[in-house]
Amino acid sequence: MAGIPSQRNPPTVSSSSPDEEFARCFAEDQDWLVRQPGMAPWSRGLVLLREATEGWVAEYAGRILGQATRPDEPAFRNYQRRLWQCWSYHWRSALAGATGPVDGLRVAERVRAGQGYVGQGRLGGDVFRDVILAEAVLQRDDRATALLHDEYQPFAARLARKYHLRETAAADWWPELFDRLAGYSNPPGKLARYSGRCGLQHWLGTVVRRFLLDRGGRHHGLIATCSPDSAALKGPGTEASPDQALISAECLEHFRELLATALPGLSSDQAVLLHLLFAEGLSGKEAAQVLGKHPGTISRRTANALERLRDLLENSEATKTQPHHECLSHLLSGAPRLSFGQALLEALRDIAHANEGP
Amino acid sequence: MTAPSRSKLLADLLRSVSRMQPRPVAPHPCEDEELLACWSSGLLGPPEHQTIVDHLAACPHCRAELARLVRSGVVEPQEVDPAAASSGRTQGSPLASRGAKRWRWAWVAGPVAVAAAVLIAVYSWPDTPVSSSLSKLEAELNELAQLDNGRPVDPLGALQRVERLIDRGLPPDLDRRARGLVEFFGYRGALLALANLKFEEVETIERRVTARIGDSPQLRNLVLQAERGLRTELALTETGDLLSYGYGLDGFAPGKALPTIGPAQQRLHEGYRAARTKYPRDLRFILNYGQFLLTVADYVGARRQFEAALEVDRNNAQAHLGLGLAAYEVQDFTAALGHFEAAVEADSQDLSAPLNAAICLERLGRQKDAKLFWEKVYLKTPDRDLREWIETTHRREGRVAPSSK
Repeated sequence: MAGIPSQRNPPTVSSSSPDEEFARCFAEDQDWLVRQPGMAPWSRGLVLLREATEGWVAEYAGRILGQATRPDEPAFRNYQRRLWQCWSYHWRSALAGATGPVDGLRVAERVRAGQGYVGQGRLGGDVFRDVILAEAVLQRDDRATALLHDEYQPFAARLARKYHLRETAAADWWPELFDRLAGYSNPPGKLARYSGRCGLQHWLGTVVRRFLLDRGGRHHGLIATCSPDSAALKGPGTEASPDQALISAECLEHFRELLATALPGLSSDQAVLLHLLFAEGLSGKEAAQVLGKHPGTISRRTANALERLRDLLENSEATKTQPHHECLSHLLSGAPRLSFGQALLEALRDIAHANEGP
Repeated sequence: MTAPSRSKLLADLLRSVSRMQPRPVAPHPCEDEELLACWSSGLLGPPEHQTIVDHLAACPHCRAELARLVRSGVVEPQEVDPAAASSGRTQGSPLASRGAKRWRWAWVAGPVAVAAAVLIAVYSWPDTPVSSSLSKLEAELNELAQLDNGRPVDPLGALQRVERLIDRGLPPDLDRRARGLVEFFGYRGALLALANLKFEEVETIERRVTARIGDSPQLRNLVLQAERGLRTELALTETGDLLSYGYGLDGFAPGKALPTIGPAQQRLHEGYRAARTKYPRDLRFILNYGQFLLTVADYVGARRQFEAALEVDRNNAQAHLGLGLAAYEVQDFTAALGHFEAAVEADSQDLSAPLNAAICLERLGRQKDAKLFWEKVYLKTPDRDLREWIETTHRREGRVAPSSK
């Protein structure tokens, strides 16, 4: 635990009574909650929620903190609030896929067994326990802090080795990350944003990898920087590359306007695909992952998106105005010297049509 | 002046327009690490995924950041399975995927029967120390039998349970049957892993299974598929159409280059040859080896494999499909057409063969004859992009698009 500060932060304290605060915690969910099994009338539902959440807080806090906490302690309400945030997310997810009311206690039972209701459903642990642990660390509980360190530091170190993001030992970076997680230097800390939608380990995996990527980039230049080419087109009147110098600044601006008008005409998938492939330089497989599409369909989707873009460029209202029309025609003419427009249109022709014989 | 690369210019152009886009207001998905973690863990449903994509379409900041995270492996988006959401199903089922074939159930039926037999035997075994685990196993096996009803099944969990049972010690007869289950659940788990592009997991599962039962041809085949980055059991299921080999709807493939044969291809070559020697009549290896040979431009070798497949099953649609592809690659369009038509006849549900037949007919200049195939593909394909492409191609050539029928 070397290098991890553990100064104690005061828990958030409310001036209202525990009962009022408890009722307020659930008030905004009353509309949908009251329609679930065992939740009507609302007063009875509140009792059920209270008993359930208090029981779980007591259970998990006992395991994590090693001591009982009482409902009249301010920290207890924070645990309860975090627990409800997590429980309600999964309850609503279950509802979204169900045809009728859903028993919240069954949802909790499933979630505590590490099974969720969205996607593949593997939460990666008991998320109720995880949100309590996260809150306890934010509350500067020493035992919870030690538990988080002991349980997750080896995992984080393994992850770092696997991703080859850093060659140095975890001892070099773990305290800095832990500081950000717990918010010692800069409250409230990343753990405050963890809400139990997935297991703490899944969440921490992403946080660790991103932290190391940013840190590596800052210290060792590992971040993929923007291509120096990207600065080439800052707009008309700015420094132009030799290629752009062959196109008038006015035409360039018209073309950019046309493109800006045409791009929203693409579907979200098509627009994102073109941007990821051409502007961000992702591979087809990576773009397919982002879009949730089969990698084998990416070429075809790209061709369709470019075809659509070409249609939009040619048929947009803006193209009907004289200067824009002339500019587009000029570019579409594919004059060899206009490599800027030619590049786009060659791409459109080659990829979308592919109708030249071998 | 040297011509700049196309990608550079497109990148410049799109980035330039991106800068003109107003940045949408928060929340930005790229800043929500829990959302990104859920995405990497397969815990996103279609609505959340669509929200992200819609945001990305409008937010250059998130596009750039997400691209950086994906490129560096910080975020590894998992497939969003609409059917898995909320239904209680815990894993996306490859059997429900586009590539799944009905005949695969024929392979499933046998092991299910074995599973049922194990159950009966296990329950007739008095006072075993493993009875409580067996009762849990029963529940899982029952779920498995109900798979086609959308009931949850976790093959790897089941595999682990069977492994534990074996480790505790079973009577010889049950032990033999339980080892059959190891292969069955391993196979199911590996299929899932393959469908979810978790290729390393396929190898891990194979190692677990072979440690218990020795060689398993069906798992060996999946490992080879994983090495090739394919997500289905039979390569032609996902690469059966000419579009997968670089051809357009007009049957031409401008810019198609000869493949590079590297160490990976050599290794796969050896793997397939070994499997073909060991399991000479296993259709999976024959068909997949044939498809592999197509990808390395060994069209004669590919043709031999597909002919061998027809010797095992003379009405095999994929063998005809492969023969058609091999013939098309050597520009024997008439022979290719004959094979594609035979494939259509052998499997009327598969759309690769009619699509290939339509392309073939286009290449032969028989547009009128192609019309029927275009209509079939257009009306039946779930791929909206392909439909759009067919429409556009027809319109561009001044022909009536299938949609206007």
